Amino acid sequence: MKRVLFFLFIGIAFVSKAQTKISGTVTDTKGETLIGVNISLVGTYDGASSKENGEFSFDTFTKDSATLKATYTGYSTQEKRVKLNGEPVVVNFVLKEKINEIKAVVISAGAFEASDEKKGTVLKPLDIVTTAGSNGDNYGALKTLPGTQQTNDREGLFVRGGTGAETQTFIDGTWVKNAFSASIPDLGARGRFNPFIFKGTVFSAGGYSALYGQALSSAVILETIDLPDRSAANFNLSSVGIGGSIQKLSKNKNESFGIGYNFVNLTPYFALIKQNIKYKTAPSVHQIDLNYRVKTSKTGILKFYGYLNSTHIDIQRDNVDSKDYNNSTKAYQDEYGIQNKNVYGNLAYKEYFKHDWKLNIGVSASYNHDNIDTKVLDANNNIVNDSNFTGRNSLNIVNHNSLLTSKIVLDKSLNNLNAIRFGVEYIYGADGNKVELNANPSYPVVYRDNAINDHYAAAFAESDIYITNEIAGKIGVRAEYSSLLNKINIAPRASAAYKLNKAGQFSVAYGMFYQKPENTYLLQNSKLAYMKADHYILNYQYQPKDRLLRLEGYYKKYSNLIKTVPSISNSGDGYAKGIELFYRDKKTIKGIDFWISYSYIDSKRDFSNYLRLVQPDFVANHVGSLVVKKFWTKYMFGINGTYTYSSGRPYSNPNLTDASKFMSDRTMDFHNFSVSVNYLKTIKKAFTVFVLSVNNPFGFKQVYGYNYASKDLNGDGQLFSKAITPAAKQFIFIGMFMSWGIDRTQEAIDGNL
Amino acid sequence: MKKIILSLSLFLMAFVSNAQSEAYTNGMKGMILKLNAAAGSDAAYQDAANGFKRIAEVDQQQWLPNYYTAYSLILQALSTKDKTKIDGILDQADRILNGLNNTTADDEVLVLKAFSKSTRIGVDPMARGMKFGSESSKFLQQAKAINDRNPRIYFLEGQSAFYTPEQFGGGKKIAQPLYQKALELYENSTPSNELMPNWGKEVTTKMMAACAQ
Repeated sequence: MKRVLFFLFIGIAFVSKAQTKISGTVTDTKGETLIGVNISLVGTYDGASSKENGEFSFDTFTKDSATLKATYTGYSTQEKRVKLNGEPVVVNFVLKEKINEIKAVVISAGAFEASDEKKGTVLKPLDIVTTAGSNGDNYGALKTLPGTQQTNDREGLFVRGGTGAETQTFIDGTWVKNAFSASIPDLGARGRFNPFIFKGTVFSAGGYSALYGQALSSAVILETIDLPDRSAANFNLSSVGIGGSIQKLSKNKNESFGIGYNFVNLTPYFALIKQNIKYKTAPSVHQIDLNYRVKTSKTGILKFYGYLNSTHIDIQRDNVDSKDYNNSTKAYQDEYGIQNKNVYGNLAYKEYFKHDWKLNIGVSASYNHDNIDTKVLDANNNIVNDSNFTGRNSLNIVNHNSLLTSKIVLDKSLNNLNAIRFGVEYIYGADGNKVELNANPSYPVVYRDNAINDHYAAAFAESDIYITNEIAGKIGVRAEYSSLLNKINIAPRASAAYKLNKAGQFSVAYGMFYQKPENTYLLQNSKLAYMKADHYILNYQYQPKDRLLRLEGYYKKYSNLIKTVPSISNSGDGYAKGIELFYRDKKTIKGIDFWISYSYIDSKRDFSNYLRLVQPDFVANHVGSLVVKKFWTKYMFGINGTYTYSSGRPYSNPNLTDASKFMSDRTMDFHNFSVSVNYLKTIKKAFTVFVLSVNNPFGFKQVYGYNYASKDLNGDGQLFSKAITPAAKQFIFIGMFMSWGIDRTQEAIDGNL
Repeated sequence: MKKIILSLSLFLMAFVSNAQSEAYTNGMKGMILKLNAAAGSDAAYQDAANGFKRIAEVDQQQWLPNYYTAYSLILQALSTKDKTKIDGILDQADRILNGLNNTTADDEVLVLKAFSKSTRIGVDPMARGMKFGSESSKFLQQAKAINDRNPRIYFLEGQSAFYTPEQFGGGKKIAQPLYQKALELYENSTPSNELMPNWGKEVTTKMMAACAQ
């Protein structure tokens, strides 16, 4: 026994004597040196970090065999047994990269994303509101991205040869039917929703995920903000209206409630600045926004967003058909009045469960009611009801739609970023359309009174597949059924990406997309089939620090489009192909952030009332934008500018009777420039932003197309035409936005005690 | 005989564990010196974090090695010139800090959580200032609830005010009294032992001078 103790002591004494030098290098599987790798001798403090050349070296008193370990974030840990006996030991490590979110390739084909949270995004949410010319409209900012057309005279976002109705908007996963506010024909429409309520925006110009359907050309996917950072009160006053809101965050920061009211009325503005159009009622809007958000657990959140809007606009324009057209004092007038009421509510629930499951549930309901009065008035303001003479009747049109949507998505994360996602969607929609002759209120002549309703159901599944950090893919499929069409469709989607190096990557996407015909057609003929588009996209992206270059080519094939002549049917078709470029740079010119986008498109369609396959009247072959942003932090002052160009768009000239000349005329090129300046200042604890923005300060002439008289008025064989132009050359906005952070001031007081 | 062996082995155990804790204290002291000498170099902070991590792996019952690993990582994130690396480094720091519960000084852990959040603002101040600023101040309030005499709380509050533009409710005038308060607390408190967190005084003095300019 004494011997044992003796050896034990000797052993301890001996250990502390001899020293061994351990050295080596660390590289990754491609042979690149790794810097900062933690090399440790397991069970001891001994170790070192690999230096700039990937080498490491340290001494240890440990004897005999031991384990040497190399640890590095993002790489698999590696262990090696070593014999330590005083002789220098050389150990080289080759570490294998783990698949991880920071380094893994992101599939970028088709989509532009604005987010603060995700990596590799092209835009920040703030970019959307600071883009000059967007005037606080999401869609206005998206029009500076490639793939979009400058169709400012129409409602909707026109993407890659698609109509505005082929772009759909989704909020927290569910479809929004009336994403644009009430509008007047030929004057365009704004997005309904305030961009500040969204924390993320994805604009997909094609090839999007199987989670979304019923959008033939493009999807705008919006995600509302979670709990606010603090309570706040806001007030705004501008050249177009006044508004305020309150946002209250509960003391435990688990719950928040907000309410806002905005009143827009352009009467004073139009009194000051002359418009080309006579407004009987200048746009007048009452809008209420509500939100409630609550954390249901540590990881779960329930969000409600509610919106109520009432809009009234009434305008008069010269009637292009009336005989006195040349004598403007006697000209007949076309009056168009619209009263719109819209209610929208969205409930979204998100929760994470054990074993990496995630659940998303979305439910939304909406109701939209349009009461439209179209009149033709003579010089004495009497209704003229002679369509042979005036080209149109005086009509009262009532459109209404109710929509209920629901969607459940389950998401299971597997190892190495792989994931599966699946779910179901159900939408109920009821639409009505009634058209009456506006001649005599006591004897209404009903032209049309139709109603339809549809039960729509869809199931979808999708899988993210990561092979390495460099290669990833996504495969999905979507099946849809509509009770109205009584048809099922199955739409496969697939995309993949390959990372060439740290900054460059290729992606491809393919997808089949179906959409029900617009209700305008379904109300007249419900025996129609789905319209269909196939998308093929190839994308190259190069993204070094603070710069981004994207090149994208695509081919799209449309089939089963709706033709209205000779009767409403699915016999239309078409195609679109093009090349797009996007370049953003925050680095080259110090302090200036700019982006350039350019789109070339070749697209033809035979649909609607077209005589043959031609370039549609909403497609310009060349479209480009330059967006520049500059902010002086020192002076809290910023200037943003946007220039857009679009080549001429085709328009139908009925004076060219030869069918081969159909849509052969082109409008003049379109130029627009917008500038906005902001100044930030604290006024008595209110954080205040002053904004001045001017659209088209240089007064470029802008023509979107022409309206023609329906018959030859002066007998020279030529029909009169009238250019479709904006309501005014310039638009000027002056506004002041104040916000009081209720909590922040409290914090400052607490902090000083 | 048996008694002798028992007492001897008890003595040996005590000796070994004493040697161990001495090794721990010396190891930590050495690393803290190394960390203090790192002065603004990305690689040196990474090296310090690695060193603390090696101690943490051996002495798993101790919380300070993990604390210092996280602190070194935050300093690395602050000093790196490649902004794209910041979030990755701070993710590591946060993972470590989230594992530190019921330590002998939870206020210090909360201070680091706050420090990590405010460091994330550097990636994109315009877009992130509001969100991470308020998350950071939330942790500082929690730290205050545990120990309102921790000078590092006021130092970080001062930093946040100093780097927030006046128009957003920050500026030198707001920051100065916070630094002042931190400095008083630095003067009037001594850490309970030499390994306990004791950083921030020098920078606070420098920032006080910057406020006076």
